[in-house]
Amino acid sequence: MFKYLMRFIKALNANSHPGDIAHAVALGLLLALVPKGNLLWPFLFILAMFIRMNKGAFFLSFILFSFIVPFADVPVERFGNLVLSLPPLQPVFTQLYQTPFIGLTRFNNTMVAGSFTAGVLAYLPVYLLVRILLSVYRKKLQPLITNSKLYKLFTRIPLIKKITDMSGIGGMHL
Amino acid sequence: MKKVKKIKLPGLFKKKYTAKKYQKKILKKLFIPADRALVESLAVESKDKKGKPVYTFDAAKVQDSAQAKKLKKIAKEIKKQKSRLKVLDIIVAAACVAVLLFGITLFRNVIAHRLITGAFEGTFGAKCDIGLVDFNLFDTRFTMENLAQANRSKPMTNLFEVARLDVYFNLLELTRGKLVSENLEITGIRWGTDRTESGTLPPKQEKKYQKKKEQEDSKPNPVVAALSSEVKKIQSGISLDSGISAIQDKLDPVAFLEREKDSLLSPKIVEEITGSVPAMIDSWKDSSENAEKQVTTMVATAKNISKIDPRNIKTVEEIKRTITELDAAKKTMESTVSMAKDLSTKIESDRKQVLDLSSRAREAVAADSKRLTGLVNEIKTINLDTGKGIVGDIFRTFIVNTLGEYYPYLDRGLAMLGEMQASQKKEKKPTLKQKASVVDRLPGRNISFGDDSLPSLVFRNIALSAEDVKTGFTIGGSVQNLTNDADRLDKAVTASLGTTHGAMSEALEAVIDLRTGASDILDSDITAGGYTVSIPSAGVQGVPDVAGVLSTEGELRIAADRALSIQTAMTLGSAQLTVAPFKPAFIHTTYRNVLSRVNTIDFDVSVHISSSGSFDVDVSTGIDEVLYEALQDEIDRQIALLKEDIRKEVEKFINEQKQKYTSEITQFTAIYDRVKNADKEIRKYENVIDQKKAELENRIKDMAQEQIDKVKQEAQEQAEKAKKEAEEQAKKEIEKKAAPLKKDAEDRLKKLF
Repeated sequence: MFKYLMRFIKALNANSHPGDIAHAVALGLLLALVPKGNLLWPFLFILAMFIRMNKGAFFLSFILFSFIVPFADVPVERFGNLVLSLPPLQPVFTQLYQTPFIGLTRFNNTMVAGSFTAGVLAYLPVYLLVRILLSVYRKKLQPLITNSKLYKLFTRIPLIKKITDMSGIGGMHL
Repeated sequence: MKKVKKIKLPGLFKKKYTAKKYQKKILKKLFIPADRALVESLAVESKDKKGKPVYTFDAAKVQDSAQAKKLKKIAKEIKKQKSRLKVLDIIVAAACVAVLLFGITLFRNVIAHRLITGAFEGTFGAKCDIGLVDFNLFDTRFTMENLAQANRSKPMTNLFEVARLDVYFNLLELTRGKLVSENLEITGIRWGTDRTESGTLPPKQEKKYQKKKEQEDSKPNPVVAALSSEVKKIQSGISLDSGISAIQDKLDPVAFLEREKDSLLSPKIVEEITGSVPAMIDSWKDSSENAEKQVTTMVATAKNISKIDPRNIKTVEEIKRTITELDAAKKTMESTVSMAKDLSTKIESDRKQVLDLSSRAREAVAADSKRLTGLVNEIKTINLDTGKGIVGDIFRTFIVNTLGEYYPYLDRGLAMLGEMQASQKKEKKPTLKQKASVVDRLPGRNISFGDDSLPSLVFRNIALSAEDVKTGFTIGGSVQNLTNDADRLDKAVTASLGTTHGAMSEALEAVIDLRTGASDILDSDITAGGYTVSIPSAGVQGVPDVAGVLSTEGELRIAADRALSIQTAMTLGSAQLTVAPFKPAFIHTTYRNVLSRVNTIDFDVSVHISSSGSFDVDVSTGIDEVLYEALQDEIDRQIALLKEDIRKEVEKFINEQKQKYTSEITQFTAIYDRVKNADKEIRKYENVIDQKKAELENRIKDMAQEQIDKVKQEAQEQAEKAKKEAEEQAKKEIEKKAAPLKKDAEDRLKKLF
């Protein structure tokens, strides 16, 4: 957790592509939403591993969202039911359902369908939101923080200094 | 001012960039405003040959090493920014997946073999060998050949063998996590075949199995436990219940006496006699014989002395010598008499003791005789408890044993079928680890599209067909609609099975209804016959070994609450009931004869096992009544005979006791009599010597008198003659002459005495 946190903070304050973090957060949310115990989840997870993104942000968001998403299960399940009941998609679902191995994804489960669809739909907004927030942070917030006396005082604490040096974020104020 | 050391720019900033590339490769990759400002501050715009603007970075503008370091870091961060997809990783992963799939395809049968073997070994606790496993996913077929499951209790024997198992499954349903098979064919099933190698599990697996079994056994099925308990009870108590053992000791003469011996008086006193009297006999034997010998000798001497006729002794010297001999004999006589008298006195105390023992022995024997006779008279005939069934009990034992052996399988099978039912599945309690790591999610609902209402496990049609030429075993049948969700399939499982093996045959028509609300889980009609049954008595005395050919026809039902009921009519044809010899012999003989007349036994079996575990096994047969009547008559008759036997045995025992002590007493008495006789005998002759001596002394007196008389006579004759002569010569002169003679004669007489 600490390692992921360090990676994330380092990426925030470095010239890493904002998309790295935005994709990571969006994928973290998607994987947190989709229930495990089906072939879809490992498939998405493996897919995530092939996308170049900030792993720290990915795992952090995945862990944090995993605690939050169960509270959204009821609407997600209803949403899944709605998606699976959409008449225009019935032929597609039927075709998928009658195809060997697709069943292993449990796409016909309301929770799986709902969470996956919600995750996909939320992907772009989350992605954009993270990018905007990141841009704001880097342009406005970061200079304010790094130039603040409190921060400078804080970074002089030996333990903090050692941690920031180790993580490579020591130069963020420059 | 400190002189700045010449700073080397990172490679990224040494290149020349066109305006477009400067934007794309440098500025667009800088997201920290401060970093962007720094890079821009170093950039120097110039013109190329074509007059287009080009950008370079001026190392001289770098103010300090911190800036240089920062530039280096920025260059590194820019280089890290690559395309979104990791193409190389995808290729490698795809290759890995391909290899994995290839490996699975290649080793699918090995994996399946391992999984199946492990499952069987885990279930049966013994080795499982499988000749061939072929799991062909694309042909939707699973084939298994030469499966041999070892018997845990007999490692060199197989519990069963399956020559071939062929399943055609639905791949689509399989990928939905369902096993739906239209056809399942199992052929070549055999039981109890020999193994070439032991079926014992290796120690590691054995330990695992034991652990699993312990967990299973920790919550034993109450019915199984009750059945096991009943089996043990029946096995240990059947003979007592049947009453044979109870009467056995009572009617065995030897056992009868053995049991009473401890309470008898005579053995103790006889033991006392045999322990003390022989010692007395030994101590008196030599002395009594010596005394007898001495007395006999003395008596002979005395008799010889008594034969002496003093009249035959002519001389005084001879008489004197005889008297001297008599004096010597008298001394011997006196010592013999004294010795005999002494022995006679001493033996009296022992005799008194022996007489006391003898008297006590007589009294004890009389008391024992009276007691035993009384006990014999108390023996009454045995009234057999006709409520108990000897044969019924045997069959009850057989049924309970059979249930004890097979009910757990039935129970396990039904439990498995029940547990299989998806609708009845209980949610497992999550482990602590699971609780800690997983946030509960809603399970959601599974929605079917198109034609799909099948449960996750369906065998629409199972065809069983097996034939074993070696054993003559054939099995044929079919099972329909075997599923793990009967509610969803909405069909009950139906089974129709028929087997023949040798003379044996079984037929089963069963309906297994696991749907919610079904009144009976199992409703089956069973017909079986030709079973060569041998029910050993297991060494229990009085219980016959039963053999015959069993056939049955009945029904087995299991209600929704798992209460089981079996109603069946059974027949044991060609029945042979044999019983091992036991005592009393007459009961055995009677029993054997009665049993030998039984050829067929019909009995009805009714078994009810409630869901709570209580059970009732009722076996009723008319054969017991016939047996009891015959036995009772014979027992009454034989009891009378046996009482006589016991009486004789008692008499024999009493006589033996008498004989034992009488012999000792008699021997002692003989010795006593010998001593007493010796004393008595010697006393007879005690005065013989004195008498004889007196006779001899009288004889001497007589002889002296005779001499006197003779001398007197001669003197008289001489006197008369002298008188005559004196008369003739002179009376004075005769008188003068006679005086001296008279005087001389008188002197001589005096001298003589």
